Amino acid sequence: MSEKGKSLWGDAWLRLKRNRLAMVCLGLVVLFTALALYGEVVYRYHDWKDISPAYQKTNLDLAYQAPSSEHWMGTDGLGRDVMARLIQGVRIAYKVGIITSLIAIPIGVILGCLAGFFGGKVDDFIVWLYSTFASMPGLLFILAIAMVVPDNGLLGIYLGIGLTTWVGLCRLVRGEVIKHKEQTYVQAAKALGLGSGRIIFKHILPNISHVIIVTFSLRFPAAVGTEVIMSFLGIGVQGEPSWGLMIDSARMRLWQGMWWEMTFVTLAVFLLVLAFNLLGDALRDALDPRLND
Amino acid sequence: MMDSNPILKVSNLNIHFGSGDDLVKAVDGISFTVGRGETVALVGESGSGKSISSLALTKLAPRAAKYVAGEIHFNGQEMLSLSDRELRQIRGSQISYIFQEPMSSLNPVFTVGWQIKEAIGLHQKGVDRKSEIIRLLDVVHLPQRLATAYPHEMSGGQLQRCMIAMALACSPDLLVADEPTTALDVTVQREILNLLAELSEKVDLSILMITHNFGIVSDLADRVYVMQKGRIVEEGTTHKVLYEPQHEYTKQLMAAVPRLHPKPPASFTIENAKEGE
Amino acid sequence: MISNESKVKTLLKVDGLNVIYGHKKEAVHAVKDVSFYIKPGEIFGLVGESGCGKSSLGKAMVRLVDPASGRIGFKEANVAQLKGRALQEYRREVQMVFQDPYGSLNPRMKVGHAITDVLTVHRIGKNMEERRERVTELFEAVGLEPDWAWRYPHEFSGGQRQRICIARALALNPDLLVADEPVSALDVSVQAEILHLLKELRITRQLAFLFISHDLAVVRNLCDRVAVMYNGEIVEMGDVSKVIDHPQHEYTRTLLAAVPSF
Ligand SMILES: Nc1ncnc2c1ncn2[C@@H]1O[C@H](COP(=O)(O)OP(=O)(O)OP(=O)(O)O)[C@@H](O)[C@H]1O
Ligand SMILES: Nc1ncnc2c1ncn2[C@@H]1O[C@H](COP(=O)(O)OP(=O)(O)OP(=O)(O)O)[C@@H](O)[C@H]1O
Ligand SMILES: [Mg+2]
Ligand SMILES: [Mg+2]
Repeated sequence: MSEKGKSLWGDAWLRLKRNRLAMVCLGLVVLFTALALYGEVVYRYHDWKDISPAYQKTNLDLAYQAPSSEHWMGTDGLGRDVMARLIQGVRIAYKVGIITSLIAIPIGVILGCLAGFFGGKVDDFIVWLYSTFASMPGLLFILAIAMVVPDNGLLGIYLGIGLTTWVGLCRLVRGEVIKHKEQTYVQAAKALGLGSGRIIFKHILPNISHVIIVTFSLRFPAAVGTEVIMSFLGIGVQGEPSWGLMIDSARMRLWQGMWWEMTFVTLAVFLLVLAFNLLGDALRDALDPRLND
Repeated sequence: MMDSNPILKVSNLNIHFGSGDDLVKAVDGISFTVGRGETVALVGESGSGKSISSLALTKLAPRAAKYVAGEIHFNGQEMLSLSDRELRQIRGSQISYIFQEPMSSLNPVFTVGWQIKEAIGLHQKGVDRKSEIIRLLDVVHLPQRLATAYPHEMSGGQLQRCMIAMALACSPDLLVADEPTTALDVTVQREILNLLAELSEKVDLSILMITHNFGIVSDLADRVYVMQKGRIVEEGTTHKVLYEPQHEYTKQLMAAVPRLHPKPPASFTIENAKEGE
Repeated sequence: MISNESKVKTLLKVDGLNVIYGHKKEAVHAVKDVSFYIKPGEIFGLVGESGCGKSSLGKAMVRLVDPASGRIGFKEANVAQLKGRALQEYRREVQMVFQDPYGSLNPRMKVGHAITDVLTVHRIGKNMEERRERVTELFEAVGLEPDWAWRYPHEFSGGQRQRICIARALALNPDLLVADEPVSALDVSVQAEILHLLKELRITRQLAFLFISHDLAVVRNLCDRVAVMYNGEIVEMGDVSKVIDHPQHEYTRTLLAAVPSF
């Protein structure tokens, strides 16, 4: 049970540690993170040395080879090793998933909290703001930003996706905060002289953390999907292997019996999303003291 | 008054929380019965396991609770061995609850009228729900306008009366009332108690009443169980327990009952109640 | 009826207070033109019909609902105009125990932390260690196992939660405690202990109370003066022995007649 002085987060970690499945998922997430970091290092190194990395090596003689002991996941249409590219692709998937979340989630949470808690003019303004954002076609907006921001399109994509996808979370958080604001424990905190910032972020936020966690685990695959479309439209990743591009190119060949590229990339996406979702669920439960035993 | 075929028979119930150093024996081997049409009061120390044992009757105790041992027979069925589905059918149609903390037991996002409607709708088909809601509100002395109010717009006592209305909506066989009138003024409390007495008389409603108020016990209950630290320390007819208490703890409780008109040479002062601890 | 005996300075003085919820057609006039005063160290009881506006009145005292009109004076200040630091200071001096103990505790915060949090905000105690000690002290004072402070609210019984709320309200050493049915979930013996504690505090610390209750016997034993509310108005007010032993108003008589006897 709970130890003396441990906070909610400390308790949640203890509980999470006892959850086998959650730990396996955490392991997977750590593995993917390590691969992403590895990919970044490899990319930077080759970029700096100005040489072509192994995963870019084309060899048309080896095109469309089925998985073998040499190429565990086979090769693609240009004879490049699918596994190498898959691993390298983690980097982009991660960046798109995580960086866009790091942009969208704080915006959504903070604006949602402020709107819900203070109401009145603040609320009107924030509701106006997100209605405006919501009424703009997201793809167009991303395209516009991507055009303006350089850095081979990637930064543009992060900003574009990040700045368009906070609206849903903001709405949810606002609604939850409005609900919690009426509850006696918030009233009691006010009567005890606690400031608004403390009430919002220390008292209300832990009670609505599930909304944020669920949103995070749902937006990850969505972000990867958007990246696919972006790459497809030619403003995303150029040249570097990304899961989006790989799925897109494999799609064409699938009916010709080249199943491996599609299979392994989809599997990787599936594993990553599954790990995040299961971990998110476990974390959500661990953060609810009423569910512990 | 003892019933040879009681509607509820609990034997040797044990419920624990935690384990190791943190083990809490919230309910430590209690047995009690409630006869048909009988009103039984469960009184005792704060934290002695009254609420937990009453919730356990339909396995509603918090998730962390471990049913270590015991049997609960209701209407001939053993409750602890029933499936969730079977339990759901019993909850609210045969056994209904008035929870201890009415203000935290109602759903904050629905109007109370809607919540009462749910309570009716779930278990009674083919009644005119609208007029039934109005009737129920009237029974607990609430104005009709409150049907459209949300819980946070109501006073503590009004919420408590909504809970009572919901509990009565489904005409249960056994009503478990956990401190049902703590937020009510004595006039409304009297009306509610009269209503319960009437139901117990007319339709053989059995009542398990948890309360700290000995006035209510003496008015309503046929028999009393006294709990302390997870155990039942004394039981008997109301008159016997209230006027000829045997156990030390019961005596101490009786001595601590606040009196509206203290007798001049009161044998009780707060000081000697403390010493009795 | 008031103020012939108010030679001692009053702590709290309420004049012509009105609380109205909602607008126009749907407005609920919960508190109607209520005036009373409380002296330092005095226990002022408030009894009345369920839904007559007692909690609303209590919440107005701690600025959780804004009165439609009327004045609340505390010491020298006009409570309605307090802002910023002055309001925070006021909230240290005037505490409230809510009618709904479970609801007034944050479900995701250990009850001990709920108390240390408040102490931190008001800069009481030099470090965490001292604040923890204060929690232990408070828990002992209300008859709870100090180790239990590091549990979540749902792990307690109704009466235990009620005592936690009392402990939290006392943590800041207030001058006035608005106690909304603070002992309704306690067995009579624990109740006697808590009432004893409250009586002690009024003597040692000059703590004054607005004590809202349905239990007339408790009010009779604890309070100095009492007001009877009916339908938003105070219909009778005076020394507790006078009001309870010789009720003047019709409603007070009905109320007293309905007390279950034992
Ligand atoms: N989830 C939990 N985890 C650990 N202990 C718990 C939990 N829920 C209840 N308890 C403990 O079980 C004991 C019995 O609780 P219960 O609510 O039945 O008391 P009660 O007799 O209803 O008291 P009261 O009159 O104060 O409501 C208490 O000591 C309480 O602290
Ligand atoms: N937020 C609100 N919005 C609208 N009406 C409200 C609100 N809060 C309370 N009321 C109404 O105001 C009246 C007074 O409520 P209050 O909570 O002050 O009563 P009370 O005297 O404390 O009653 P009880 O003894 O039942 O707790 C009630 O009729 C209630 O329905
Ligand atoms: Mg209880
Ligand atoms: Mg109230």
